[in-house]
Amino acid sequence: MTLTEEKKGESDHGQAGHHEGPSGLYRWLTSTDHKVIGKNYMYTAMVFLFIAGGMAMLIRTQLASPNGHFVSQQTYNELFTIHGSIMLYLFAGPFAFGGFANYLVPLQIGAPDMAFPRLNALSYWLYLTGGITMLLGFLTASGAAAFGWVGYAPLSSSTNSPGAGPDLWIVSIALVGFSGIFTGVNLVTTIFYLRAPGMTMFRMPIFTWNMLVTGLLILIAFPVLTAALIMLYADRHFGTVIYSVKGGGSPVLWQNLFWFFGHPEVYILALPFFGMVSEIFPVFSKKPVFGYKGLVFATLAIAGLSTGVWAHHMFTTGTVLLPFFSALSLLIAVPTGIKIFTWIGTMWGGQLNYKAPLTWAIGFIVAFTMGGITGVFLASPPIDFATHDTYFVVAHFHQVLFGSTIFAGFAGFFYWYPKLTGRMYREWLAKLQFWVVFIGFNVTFLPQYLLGLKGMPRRIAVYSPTDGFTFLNQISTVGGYLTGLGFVIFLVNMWISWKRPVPAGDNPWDGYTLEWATTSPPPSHNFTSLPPVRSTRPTWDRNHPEHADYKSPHVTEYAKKEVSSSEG
Amino acid sequence: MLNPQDPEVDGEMKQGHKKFTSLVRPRGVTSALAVATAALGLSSCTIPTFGAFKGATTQGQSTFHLFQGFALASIAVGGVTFLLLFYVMFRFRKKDESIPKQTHSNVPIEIMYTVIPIIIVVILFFFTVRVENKVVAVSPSPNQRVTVTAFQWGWKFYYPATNTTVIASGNTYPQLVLPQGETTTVTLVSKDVVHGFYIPAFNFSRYALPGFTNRFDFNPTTTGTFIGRCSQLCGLYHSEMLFSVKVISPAAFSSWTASQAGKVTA
Amino acid sequence: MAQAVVTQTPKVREPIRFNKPSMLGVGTMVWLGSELMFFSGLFAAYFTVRANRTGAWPPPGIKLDIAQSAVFTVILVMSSVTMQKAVFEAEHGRKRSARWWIVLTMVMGLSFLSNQAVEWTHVTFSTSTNAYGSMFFVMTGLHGLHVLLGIVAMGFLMLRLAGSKSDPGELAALQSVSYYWHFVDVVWVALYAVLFLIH
Ligand code: HEA
Ligand code: HEA
Ligand code: CUA
Ligand SMILES: [Cu+2]
Repeated sequence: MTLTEEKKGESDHGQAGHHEGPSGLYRWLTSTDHKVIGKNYMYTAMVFLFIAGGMAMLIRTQLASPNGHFVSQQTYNELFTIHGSIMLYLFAGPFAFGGFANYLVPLQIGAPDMAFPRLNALSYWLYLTGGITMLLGFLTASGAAAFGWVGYAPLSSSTNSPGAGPDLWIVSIALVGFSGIFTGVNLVTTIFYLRAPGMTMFRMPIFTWNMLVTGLLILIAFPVLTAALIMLYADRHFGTVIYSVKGGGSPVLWQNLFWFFGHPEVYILALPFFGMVSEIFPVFSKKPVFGYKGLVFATLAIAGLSTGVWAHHMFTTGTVLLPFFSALSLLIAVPTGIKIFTWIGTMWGGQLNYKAPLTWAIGFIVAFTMGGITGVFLASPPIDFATHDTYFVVAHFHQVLFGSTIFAGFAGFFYWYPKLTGRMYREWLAKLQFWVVFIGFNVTFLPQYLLGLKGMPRRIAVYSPTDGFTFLNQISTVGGYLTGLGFVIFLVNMWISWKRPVPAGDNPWDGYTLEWATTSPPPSHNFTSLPPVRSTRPTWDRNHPEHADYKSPHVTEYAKKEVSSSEG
Repeated sequence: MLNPQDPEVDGEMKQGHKKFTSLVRPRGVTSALAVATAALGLSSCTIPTFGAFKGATTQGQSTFHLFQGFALASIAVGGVTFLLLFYVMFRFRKKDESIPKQTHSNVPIEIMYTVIPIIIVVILFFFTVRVENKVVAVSPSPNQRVTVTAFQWGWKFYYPATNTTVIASGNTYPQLVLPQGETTTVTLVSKDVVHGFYIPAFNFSRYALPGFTNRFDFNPTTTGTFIGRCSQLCGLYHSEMLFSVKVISPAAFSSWTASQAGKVTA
Repeated sequence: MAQAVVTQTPKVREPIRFNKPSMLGVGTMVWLGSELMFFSGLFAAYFTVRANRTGAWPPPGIKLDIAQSAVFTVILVMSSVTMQKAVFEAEHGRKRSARWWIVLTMVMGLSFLSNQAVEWTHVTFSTSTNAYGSMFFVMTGLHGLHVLLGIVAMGFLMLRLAGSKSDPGELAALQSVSYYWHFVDVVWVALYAVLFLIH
């Protein structure tokens, strides 16, 4: 039922361009095809995930015992700085927004490619250059940047952090920022301009909506960071005094600019993953997404609110309007809650097919809800005074970040893996990986809430045996190693899938959106024929005409539109 | 119209809706709200600490009670969410290849799960502001004043009334001495980078910012010695930028200040 | 589709300005949105620094030639007009004329930049004198870079328009550069007001 006759013929055709001669690698590297670039992004980002995850293992090893001597204090500071920086700038964002968005958005809206393919290639190369630049910091005489991923002034000044490592960090983030801005411009233009006939804004898949909103957030947030970084660089090298008290500058200015970027950034990281699970829950429940418009407006509300809450990272500076930022931060719980309940509502009454994508996506809800709720604690200034810069915060953001980037990220990866490669992963290994990572993750980060409440500050290389932090840290470290093991299972899975390919078919999940209407992997021009787009689920409509959305009495508005457009 | 309305479909959908509401509204969120409100308002002592410090100042105690309230509220909210999730996960496991009812939306339910969180958030905000005003209040006429200067990597405590200075030295961490039951206003500054003046047992931290002066009050309620830390990354030896806080009776405090007048302890 | 309409009605003098913007044009506008945020960041920094200062503004010792900069401000604003003229000419298929208008725009932009170079060497303060000095150099410098980028882009446009065979994308490229140029000019007006006029 899922494969129509015409398409079976096409799939060999799709395979044709796949195996190349000696020029294959060269073609791959110089390609401007959004699918190739998207995959490049994804695989590069995964390499960075492993590098940063390896650093996390070192961090956890250092903290496994009081007065740890595994690495020096300087090295420790470099490790968490680069761990955080890689995870946020080089893994999470590029993985979703560079990788998935690039690969899927043109497919989902029925476009042949991105609006500006060469700009797209440039974005990728800027990103790769930026990423390597950041790692180069470790090779400099004074080491990599060691002032945290937030680079607070004046710790990041040339007197307090001399050397080339911090400069490389600044340049690296500026490059990655430009890459993100260019991808944002590209995606937003693509979505505005290249939608297939019939693909109205309110028929776009939720994933594409989330990417659109993410793109807009990037365009709002990243340029401010770029401006802040340029001024930081100028302070370090051109004698300006913008962040220094001496000449009438202001160190808190950096914090304001940074968090004006930094808070939207965490939603830039989260929204794409929300988009992924918003595709997965419906497909594996065999139902349409519940409350489509609610989801879209919740996404817009999150984006809007997220530009007005930055100072919740600065409650303890004593320089910000506490009630205002507290109120807006608390309010974000509402649209985020709408999403959670929408996903639950989607599964309600469905036929839940527990394949790896669904399992991972449910893991995401569990982790994210816990982390989100502790975020609500932090949004209350008095509670933040008690927990700011402690492991309570570390636990909060790992639950939301790991929840979205790893749980939802793997949900998305396994869901679209057949589309990307034309092959199937091994289901049992994906499930096994899930359980190992899920247990490891909780064992790592739940104890950190208690550590934070007991008063353990973050970013400390050593603590004393008398502090009472030892036991919980040891548990956390064990959990960290377990999580690492989970990722090894993933590598094994990929290895097996590569060595012993199992063809997946074009639409193994009975997917709804247009990417499932073409071959796996899609041909370079994406589509040979497009099904008519008369609802949010064109592929479903084609494969299940008797249950098609545009026939649903509930969606009369679609029906009306269909009548008018078929007449026109 | 392409499709005639199907009465059967409509009926079933309404029924599903009823089931959904009855599971959530009465037993779940409303009672959770009641518990949360009670906790935030009455702050009974039988509520567990959830791992937090009880607070050794009046300010810290208010924060602690607020934390308890948040903890209860979040257990309720998280509990309901997870109950729903687990119910769905088990109840709707795939049974056969049939295609389930294609529900697109249900406006009353959607409104419900928008409005209830808004109400919860408003309540949380209300108590937040109340406690916040207490915690950040600075008395115009405190019993004591002390100026805390943070620097890489140590602390200086200066009592202007008696011209007493305490600085870190060698391996010993400096000690901040405070009288119990009295109001001390702390003036916090930094000599170099941003530091975090953090006393876990007081449930309180505040940045020491270069070029900006912060003021806040402590009203210690219990005597004892507590550890203080630098919470904001400030460079190489950030982990070792510790101090201690000793809360003593007002009488002991006056004899201590008298003995320390004009002295510099380094 | 729109081009067909243009070529078939050569007698109508009214420029066709309300076509659906080209894809490049949409992309440019989206990108300019991000540029707006970039300059907002700089303005935010400027106003923070200003709010931090209690005394006179700009701080003592800062003297700028307001009149001379006003002249070049006018020149830069006028260059927006010449740039738009180039667009209109090209929209009517008068490529030669369009090129001359672009050259004029480039000259005006370059004269603005030279004035800025002169100003930089003549001001009484440096980047490190105080935060005002820092912001002055950072903001005018970054804006100057944008002007330079615009001139470089016009250089490429000239090459593209010079080609004899018809190039379907050249009009869109010209329009996009003009959006950018207008944006840069507007930003300068704001910068001029903030850096030179506010006391
Ligand atoms: C993916 C990233 C991500 C996400 C989604 C969030 C989501 C939220 N975060 Fe988090 N946060 C970070 C990443 C993220 N955060 C990072 C990286 C830091 C540290 C930065 C650093 O210093 O290094 C941080 C730090 C941080 C702080 C500063 C802490 C400090 O430094 O002292 C605060 C304070 O307000 C905060 C609040 C919130 C809130 C209110 C949400 C909300 O959006 C959460 C909303 C979600 C829910 C509430 C759960 C689901 C909702 C329901 C089930 C509905 C019902 C619920 C209620 C009515 C309560 N976060
Ligand atoms: C997406 C974001 C993300 C993710 C996924 C993670 C994942 C992990 N993080 Fe990270 N973390 C951050 C973002 C993230 N972190 C940020 C932003 C900070 C703040 C930085 C700052 O303070 O400035 C931080 C800080 C931070 C700290 C606090 C350091 C400190 O303040 O002193 C700790 C401590 O436990 C920690 C631990 C971990 C662990 C154990 C994992 C694990 O879950 C990782 C699991 C993944 C792997 C393990 C990869 C695969 C590994 C292998 C296959 C093992 C073999 C390989 C080698 C040994 C090379 N992180
Ligand atoms: Cu001082 Cu950390
Ligand atoms: Cu935030």
